[in-house]
Amino acid sequence: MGRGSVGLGLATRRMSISTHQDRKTGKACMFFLSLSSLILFSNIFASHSLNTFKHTVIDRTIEIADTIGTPLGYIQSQWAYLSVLKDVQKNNEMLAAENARLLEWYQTANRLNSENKALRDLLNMKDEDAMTFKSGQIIADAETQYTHTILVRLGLKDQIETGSGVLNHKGLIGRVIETGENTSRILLLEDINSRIPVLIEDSEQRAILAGLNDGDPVLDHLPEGHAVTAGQRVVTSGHGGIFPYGVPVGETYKTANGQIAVKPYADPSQSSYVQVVNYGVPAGSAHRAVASGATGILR
Amino acid sequence: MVLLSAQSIDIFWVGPVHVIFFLMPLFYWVIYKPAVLPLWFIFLAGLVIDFSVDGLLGLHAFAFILYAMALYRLRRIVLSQPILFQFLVFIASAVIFESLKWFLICILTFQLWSFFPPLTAIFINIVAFWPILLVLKGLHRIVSGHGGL
Repeated sequence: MGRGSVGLGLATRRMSISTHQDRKTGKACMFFLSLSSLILFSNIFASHSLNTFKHTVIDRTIEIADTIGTPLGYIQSQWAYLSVLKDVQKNNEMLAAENARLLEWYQTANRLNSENKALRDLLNMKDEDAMTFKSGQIIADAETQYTHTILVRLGLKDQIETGSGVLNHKGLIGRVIETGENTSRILLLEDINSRIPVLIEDSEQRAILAGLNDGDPVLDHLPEGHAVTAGQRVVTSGHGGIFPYGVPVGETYKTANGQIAVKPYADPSQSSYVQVVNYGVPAGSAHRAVASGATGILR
Repeated sequence: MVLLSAQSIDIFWVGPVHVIFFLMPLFYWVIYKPAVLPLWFIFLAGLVIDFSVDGLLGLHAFAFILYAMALYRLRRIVLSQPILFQFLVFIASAVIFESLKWFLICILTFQLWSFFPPLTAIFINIVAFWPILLVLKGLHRIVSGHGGL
């Protein structure tokens, strides 16, 4: 009887301690849940301020994140290498053919360049090439299934402006949407908020290249009965005041549902460095165009 | 695991998939030794991931806390069950976690997103369960002197 009552007492005591602990944990849970939901739901009302705050934090802590992320970066680069490896034979053949074709074009381009220069001199034309560029390293791939952006180690201190175009050696990658002191965030062509005015070279057809988040971007606002077919070269049209005419974007192809999509020439996942290009377009027009393109809450 | 969760994996046929590898350690420690992962750490881990990937700030912090809260309630039941049952609970919890994230993103961005990438993330998490479990069991032995599962 005595031993039984002692056992019962111990069990009650343990239960009361456990209930007390549970209550304490419950209160802490409620506190953190309220705090996180406050942050989360403020994305609706103050998405711009939150994004600016987020970018400022990233900008200030980039050195620490870079150091911690080095081993992970190595793993990622090896993973990227593996994904290239599976197509190595096919790529080799394609590159050899492309190289032969480019050598022919090189000769043609040289001839046309000198001819162009001579004609410009003859006409006494004003030189409109006010382009400047900075090259920078991609330091973070912040892509998820919902957003497609990358972070580049170029910022305000490098005179990078919001709206500038971003290229690699193959073509257009995207544009700058946020700039911090040391870093800039680049909105990729695949992102759902990306809209680039383009021109399909052979048909002289204008369209808007719209990101879908899911796969390659598609051509939007094509008129009924357009003449765009698969395999045509897509370049920027120069409309919108961000990119000049003729920056290479990609090649058209038809999707399973009949839409015209564009396979971009440049693959940011295969690049370590990019060029942020300022085409000398007046800041006002560029900023207006950026504002109309990137209005999503995820931005 | 938090740092690994802050990266997206480029899966050949799906594209970038954000797999939360921290989900398994969170599940394990909340069930077996909640003191190892205090709530402030879980909240902070969520924020670190939110800052690292482009998306809604507070999403992972919120989802982690909700996930931990649900596990705190279930831990006494799950703790006494065989490993296979615990594995099934983990699968269910991973599905609920990814669905919650997907649902919140759809609601907050007013857009219907594809559920295929979250499904891929769930699949990778399920596959990673056993190897991560082995590592965690080893860690558990070091921390407390005896194994967990």
